[in-house]
Amino acid sequence: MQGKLKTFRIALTLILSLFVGAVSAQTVTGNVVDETGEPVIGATVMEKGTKNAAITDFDGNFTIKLESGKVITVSYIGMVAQDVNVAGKTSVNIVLKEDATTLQDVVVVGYGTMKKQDLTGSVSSVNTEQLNAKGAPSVLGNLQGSNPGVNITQSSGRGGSYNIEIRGKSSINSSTTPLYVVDGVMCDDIDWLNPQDIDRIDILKDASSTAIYGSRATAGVVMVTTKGGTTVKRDQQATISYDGYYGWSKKVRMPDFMDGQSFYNYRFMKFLSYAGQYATTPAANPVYQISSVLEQALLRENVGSGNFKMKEMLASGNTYDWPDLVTQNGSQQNHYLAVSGGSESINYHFGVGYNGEKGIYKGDKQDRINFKGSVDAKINKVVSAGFSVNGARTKKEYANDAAIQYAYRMNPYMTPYNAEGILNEKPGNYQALGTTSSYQFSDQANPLLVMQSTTEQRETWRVLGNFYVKFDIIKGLDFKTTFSPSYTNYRDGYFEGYRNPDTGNFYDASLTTTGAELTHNRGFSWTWDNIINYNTTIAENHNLGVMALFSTQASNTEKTYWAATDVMDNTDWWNMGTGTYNADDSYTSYTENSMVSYALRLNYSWKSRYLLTATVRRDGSSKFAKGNRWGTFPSVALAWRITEEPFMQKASWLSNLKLRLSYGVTGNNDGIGNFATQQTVSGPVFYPFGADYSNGFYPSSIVNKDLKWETSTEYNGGIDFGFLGGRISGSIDVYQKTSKDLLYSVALPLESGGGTMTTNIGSVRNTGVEVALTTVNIESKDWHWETTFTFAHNKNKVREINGTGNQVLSSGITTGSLFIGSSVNNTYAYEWGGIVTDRDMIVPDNLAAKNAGLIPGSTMKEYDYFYKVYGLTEGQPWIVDQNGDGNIKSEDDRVIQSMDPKWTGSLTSNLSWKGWDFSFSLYAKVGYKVYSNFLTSDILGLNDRGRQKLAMDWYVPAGTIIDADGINEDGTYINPKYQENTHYGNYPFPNNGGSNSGVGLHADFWNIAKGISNASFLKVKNITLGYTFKKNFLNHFGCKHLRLYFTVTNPFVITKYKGFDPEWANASVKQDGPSTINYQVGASIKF
Amino acid sequence: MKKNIYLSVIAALFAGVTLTSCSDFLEAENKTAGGQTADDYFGKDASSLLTSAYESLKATAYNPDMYSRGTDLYIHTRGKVATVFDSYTLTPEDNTVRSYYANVYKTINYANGVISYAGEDTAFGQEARFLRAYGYYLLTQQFGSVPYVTTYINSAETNYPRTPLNEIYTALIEELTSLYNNSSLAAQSHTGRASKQAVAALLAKVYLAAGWDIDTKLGDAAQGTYNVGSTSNFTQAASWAEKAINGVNLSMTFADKWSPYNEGNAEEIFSIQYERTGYPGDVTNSGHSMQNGFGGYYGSYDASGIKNVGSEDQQSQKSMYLFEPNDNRYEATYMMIMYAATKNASGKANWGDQGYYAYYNAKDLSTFPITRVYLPYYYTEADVNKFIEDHKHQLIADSKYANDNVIISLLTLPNVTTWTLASGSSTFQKKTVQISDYNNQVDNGACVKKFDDPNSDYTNQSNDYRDIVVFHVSDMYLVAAEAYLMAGQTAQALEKINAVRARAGLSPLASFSAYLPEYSTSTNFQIRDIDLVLDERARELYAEGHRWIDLRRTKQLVRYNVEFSEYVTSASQMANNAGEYKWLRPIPANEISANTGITSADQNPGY
Repeated sequence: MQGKLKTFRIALTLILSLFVGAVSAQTVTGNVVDETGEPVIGATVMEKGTKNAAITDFDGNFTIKLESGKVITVSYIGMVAQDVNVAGKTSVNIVLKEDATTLQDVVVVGYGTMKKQDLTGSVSSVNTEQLNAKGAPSVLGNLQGSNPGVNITQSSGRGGSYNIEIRGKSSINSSTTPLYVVDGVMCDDIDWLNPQDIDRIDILKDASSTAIYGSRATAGVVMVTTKGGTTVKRDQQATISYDGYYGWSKKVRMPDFMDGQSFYNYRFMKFLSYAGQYATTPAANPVYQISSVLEQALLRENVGSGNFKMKEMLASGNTYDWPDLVTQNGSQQNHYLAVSGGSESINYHFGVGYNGEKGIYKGDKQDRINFKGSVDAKINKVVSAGFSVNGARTKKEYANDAAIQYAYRMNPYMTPYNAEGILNEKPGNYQALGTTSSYQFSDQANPLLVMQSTTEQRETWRVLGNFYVKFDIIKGLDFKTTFSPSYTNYRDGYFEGYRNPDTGNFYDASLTTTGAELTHNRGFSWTWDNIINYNTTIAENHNLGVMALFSTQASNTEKTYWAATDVMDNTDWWNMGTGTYNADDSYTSYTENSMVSYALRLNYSWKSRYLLTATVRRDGSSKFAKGNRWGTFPSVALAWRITEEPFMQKASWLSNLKLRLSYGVTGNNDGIGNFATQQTVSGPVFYPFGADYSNGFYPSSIVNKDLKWETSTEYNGGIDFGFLGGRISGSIDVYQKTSKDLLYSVALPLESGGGTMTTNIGSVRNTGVEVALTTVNIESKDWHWETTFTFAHNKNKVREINGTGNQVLSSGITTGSLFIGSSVNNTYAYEWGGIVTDRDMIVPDNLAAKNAGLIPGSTMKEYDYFYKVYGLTEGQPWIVDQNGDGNIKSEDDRVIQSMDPKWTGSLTSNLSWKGWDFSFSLYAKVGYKVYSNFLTSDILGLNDRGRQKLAMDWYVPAGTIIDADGINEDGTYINPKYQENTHYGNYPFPNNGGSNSGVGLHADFWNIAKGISNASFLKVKNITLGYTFKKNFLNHFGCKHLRLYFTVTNPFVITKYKGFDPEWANASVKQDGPSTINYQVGASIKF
Repeated sequence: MKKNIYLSVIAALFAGVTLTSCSDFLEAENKTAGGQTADDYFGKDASSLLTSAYESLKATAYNPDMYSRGTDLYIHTRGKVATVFDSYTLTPEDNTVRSYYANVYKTINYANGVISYAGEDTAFGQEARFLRAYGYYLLTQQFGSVPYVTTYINSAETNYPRTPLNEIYTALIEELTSLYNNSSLAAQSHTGRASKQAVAALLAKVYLAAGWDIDTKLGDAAQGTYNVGSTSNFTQAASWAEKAINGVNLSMTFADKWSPYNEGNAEEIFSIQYERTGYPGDVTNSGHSMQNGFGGYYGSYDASGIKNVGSEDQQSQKSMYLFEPNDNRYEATYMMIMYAATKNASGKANWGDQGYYAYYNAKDLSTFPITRVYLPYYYTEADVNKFIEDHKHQLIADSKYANDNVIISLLTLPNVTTWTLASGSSTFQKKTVQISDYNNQVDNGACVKKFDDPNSDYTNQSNDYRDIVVFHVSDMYLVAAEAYLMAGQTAQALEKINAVRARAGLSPLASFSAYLPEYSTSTNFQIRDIDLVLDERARELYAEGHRWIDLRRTKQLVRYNVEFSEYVTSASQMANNAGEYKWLRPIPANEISANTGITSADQNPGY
């Protein structure tokens, strides 16, 4: 083995030596090492001004015969090239420094790149290491918390989709998804890329940076540069790299669901009714009794005889944790293998990736394969050309939604299996429980059976490419034409009706027939960009750059949906012809749009001190009617690099200081459909006159032919600074972004039949500040410790709602309504004041108290007050009567609360010592309210007494009966237990005495109010420990780089939110779910 | 040289692209619409829009919240709580009210569309005008004054102020009179089309409502007192009701009238059409679910063999004693006997010609096993024992049946008596249960059978394909009776009521004051003439969806709720703090915010 390796090394050295040029008089030998003293292999040693070169061997040694010069240039990828004067020397030792600034140096902006120092706008960047340190399986997950002002939130506990919002919500109707530009190609999503294939991400935040994308850029622009193309240097030897990890995920931080004992207590109390006189004459603090319903409450085996099943199960510990039954430990893996290299005239990069995830719910699963290739060729001095293709196939399988929802409804006494270990069809009914048919919880189907009843799958294909030809016409002037096609195809399949082989019945007993659905959606779009670039320097100090763009773009989508029932067993959606075609639901559709754009950009700088960027873009969109199609989007930005001024040269403590000012206008037409200005025919509906059916058609919703572009105007002021030679560096940006003519779908007067119509409705303003600060705390030979801190605050405010007063109520009212002066994201809900207790209170001075004949300022029992004024009894929830009129109703008792965070922040710290590296990152979102679907659901409801609940700390009035072993013939209790002292819990007293199942007259309001929750959180996103092997050790294996690491993601969360995870607190019940901790081991290898 | 070539190529490219691009390139083709706008399409043929207008009636056909709740006749049991409609805690944000308002206006706007595309005097236009008038009738009965819009809304116009109620009634009367006298509508239709008979029926109802709303002033709301002014609208109402009756005698039995095999019978004037056979879409869930309302709970249909009923809108205590002994409408309204179903291999109830629908589908009922019996209050224990004796071969409790026991309930107050035959047993166990406990258990009380569709496969879904009858002849008899009474023509009023009672097998009443109801009332509730009309309507039209509208129109809503409703304890519960009663539904909050012609100040009293 050792011998073979040696042969290989010799051969390689020989091959490398072929590149060595002609022989001349002076011969210099030398050794090249890096800062850690490791030899640098494959470094190029070139005689300056010639083509004469040598390459270092495995020990970093080289020999070069100089032709005539005295200076050699030593270069290596990722390191600072060095000129060394070798006049009179025969041997030199050279130490190459890591080029820490390469990645930061150049920033990708719209239709080009720019040196970071020349930037005039607000752009923040992330490189591949920073991106992949977080260990999330998706690009956006990795990007979370990396950039101030870029607010990324995981929107679901399943499948990990993310919402992204850059500098607040500037539109009402459209999503806040920014424009993604992948290697110059516009794209609406990047989560299908393999994170390891991404070289860098630059986020254009202010309008002067984004305006070059005009109408697409209101929500910000995320520039993604994948590996290959510009990242591969010419003359780079072939490199093979592998990056990958395998991880395990565990469900954690589950909400506090009731256990057997709490559910027992809850159920007993939910059967309490008013005792004696209170049954007919209610009172402020009635007495409760348990009547003969006790048998029903505690599930007696027979009417009037037998054991109480709940008591029996509680005593024997035979209770069940249902969420546990439908979940499992998940796993994640990601692998990426890439080959790249180049010669003088051509370079290439190919990659293939695999990403696999097994979800926390049994049946949630994802597989993705990525493939990628790019080639760039210089054909002659004038013409160069190339292409890159990025593709992915993703296959997602989904667990049965309904089963998951059912599982959270199952109380601990519902019995999954019968005595033979076979799944009970209805775990809460009398047969499963062994009681008489009169006493049971419910006929709800067993989630574990329902889960096996369906298959749901989505297979997505995405291919994004670009092909270009570039002409370097004269020095400084070039023309590039790029054609970028993009193809998306997804296929959704759904089948229900798998049968239980044991019984031959459907797993889901509620089904009567099998059913299948198949959807095909094919989208194709292309962009053709033609760009002329001209750069020149006039009179040494004036740098001028001009870019002109002409671009056309078109896209179309076609969709087919087919549904059938009674299809053949076990055929999924692959044999729908065997079933009954469902014509009513099936449909096909086609839609298209197009856009034409012109843009011009001017960059000017004087002595690199004063910088100016001005852009203008004109977009025409097919979505609008003639006359409103075109929008013009200008921008201008100025920057002053103070540290370049002669008078600042002495201030050596200040390494960088730059002031930036910008103004820009962007547009948006995302919130409307492609044919939003055309009223067409919808239908059919079917109606029989007598026996024969006729088809009815009707007009689609009313349209507004005058729709026009939504526009945003943004001002940005920024300062970039660096102290102590870059040991402390950072930037601060403040901005104000005003958006108007917002495309919003407003409710039409109900006289029109109750539809909505999109209109240019009003104005929203976002004002904010963003701070990024990086400090290098320790920098020595062996140690490096760096900390990055980001902070962002954004205030969102609706300024104007055209012609419709100061508010627009959505159909749901509680969320989605708009109010002038408040955030777009708000809740409009009742405020839960607390529980009516037996404590004393001071009567407030309001109309309600006076109408009830009470004396303001006097002292009385809370229950007397609330009974007299609101008809509430002890232990019931009360809603704040905002205007004190004694009536809780419609609008006057709702309050508006913002759902935007007050601030977000992150902290990332990297510590390295020799080969070891340790890092962690924190992410916080603070002052954050949500309207939680989870908390408004039955899980926190008191209307039913059979479904599972959160373990609430509920109020119990003193003297209430809380348990009994039965009722004697004469009506007395057997072994009764009473609540001795009042238990002052935070949640309502569960009982069945008063109106609304004991919840009281404020029940409907409380059901809304209880869903509003603080969801502020601080998360430790990841902790990583890695080790990079020494190069001279690796060289024995022909390996250039090897790092092994261990990452824990989301290990700690601090929050007051009582549901699953504060991050997806407003997810729909089906998309909600447990949060997880992931443990990953990974490797990064280069050959 | 080479450079020049490149330059020319680039210049040509740029020029070519710029010239060809703009205008044509930005025209997107809407292939799904075939290049046609709605105006193009309906301008050529408005018939499919008329069909949609008829179809849109389905959305408002069955609405227990707005038609039945908050009245004297129905309650919820087995843990089903009072809705905001029962307890009069309705708010303007309520979605049911909003949908109802929007759905009726959808019918109106489609009708206005047909009128605008086809012309108001065409056959399509005339049918549309009837539908529009019917829509406004529904709206006025629930909301009072509403915007009376007769033009097709197809633009972003947002200003629609409320039209005074008297102007709407006047306009409807004019419109309907003209339709009756000068239109090509058919004299009558039993297939769901607008007809002159339907126009007359609607006109009678509009006149009656106008008589009450415009000419009659409320006295004391809690007492239900009023003062009649002009009687001309009532006189007109009676005369149009007679035209709608069109000489049809009530000769068909009440049971035949509601038989599922007698749809489109001679008494039907206008109905909303459903048809199981030939439905082009998914038939399982595209009907309505009226058969699943108005009753107790008997377990899920596959476990018990009895149709799914949701414990909602069950008999109130008043309803239990509403029918006099021997009133044959009781048996035709309620399912008194439910038949047993055997179990299939997987333990579920066999369906169709067994179980609940055996009543309709079984070949020989006299030998068919019975599982549940619900007998009204006027049965004595001796009657029950006789029933058991007469049916002893059918009363079998056996584990082969989905319900393995037999329960006979005698629905009396304050206690219900049950006779239970346990599985394998041969003797009935008698037990007395308080009505409240009885209502809380399974198999509680009778259910309404008037809307049963014996061909339903899955009664847990909207699988009822019986037509929903909107106007029929005996309703018109009672409209006439009410109108005659209000016009002071008591004799004619009594004649109409007695005609209805005669078909029910009851002897004629000699006078209004001869009427003595069986249900009990509190001492301060005195039976008046109008109560007979309302009680007769309750019996004749039980569960049809008239009750709330009837009580509101006759100004008895507060009086009846306070006296009979389980959910209203005092008159003040039906009023706001300022003492304004909730006689009408609230104008929806969304409407107030979207319609610039209506502000919060225009909200109906009480909200």
